[in-house]
Amino acid sequence: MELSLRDGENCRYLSFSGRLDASTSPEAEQALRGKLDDCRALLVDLEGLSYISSAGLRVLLVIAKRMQSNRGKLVLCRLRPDVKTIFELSGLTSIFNICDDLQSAENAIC
Amino acid sequence: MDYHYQLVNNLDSFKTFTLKLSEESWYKSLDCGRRYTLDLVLEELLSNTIKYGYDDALPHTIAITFAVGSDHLKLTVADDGHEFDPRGDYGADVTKPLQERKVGGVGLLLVKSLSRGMDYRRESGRNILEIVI
Repeated sequence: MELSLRDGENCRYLSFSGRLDASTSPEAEQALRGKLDDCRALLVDLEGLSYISSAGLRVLLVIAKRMQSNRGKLVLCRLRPDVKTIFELSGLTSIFNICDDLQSAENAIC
Repeated sequence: MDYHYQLVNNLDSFKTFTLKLSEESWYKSLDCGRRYTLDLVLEELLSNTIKYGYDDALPHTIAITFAVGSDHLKLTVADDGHEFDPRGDYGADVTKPLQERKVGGVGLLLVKSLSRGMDYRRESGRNILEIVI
């Protein structure tokens, strides 16, 4: 699993790639600790994410709660079909604002 | 064709097991969707057993058998942990809004949703769980 976090003009960009599972989620949580405290708009790009389990969903749910307490905006985009199925089965598509492509996500967050 | 594996109840052993699995020719021959489901079912079940299945710090063997057919895959997991039938209603309420949503608890729900069939029995002090995917 790799993640990158960078500041854009209108929002902060977070991307995950590889597998977000029980083995890699602790390092993702550790890498993000304190990094979103001041964030008011976060775009999470999951194009490179090939696998997510409940441990990975937990990372995203923690991010969502952080953004909610920041009163900030959060948009996810570019979920692969298998990953999107896991979101749907977990009922998370009703919690997250999910866009198909990057442009739609950028429009949604501005 | 049946394939048999064993691991002990810690996450390092689970990682070693999944690495070995990923190199097996029968595993590589599965289509991507079935591989994803298998990975997820194994992770959710075994991480649950490793975290919550035992009170002591002793090593316990978890035995896993895969029966691989042309149109189905049956997975049997046997462990001597606490009696636990995962078919029960332990899943998270996926209809709750974010502020009421717990950060965990969806693993077993995913296993149930992605399985075509689940059977459980307690036999000679062991949990025997059979899952068809």
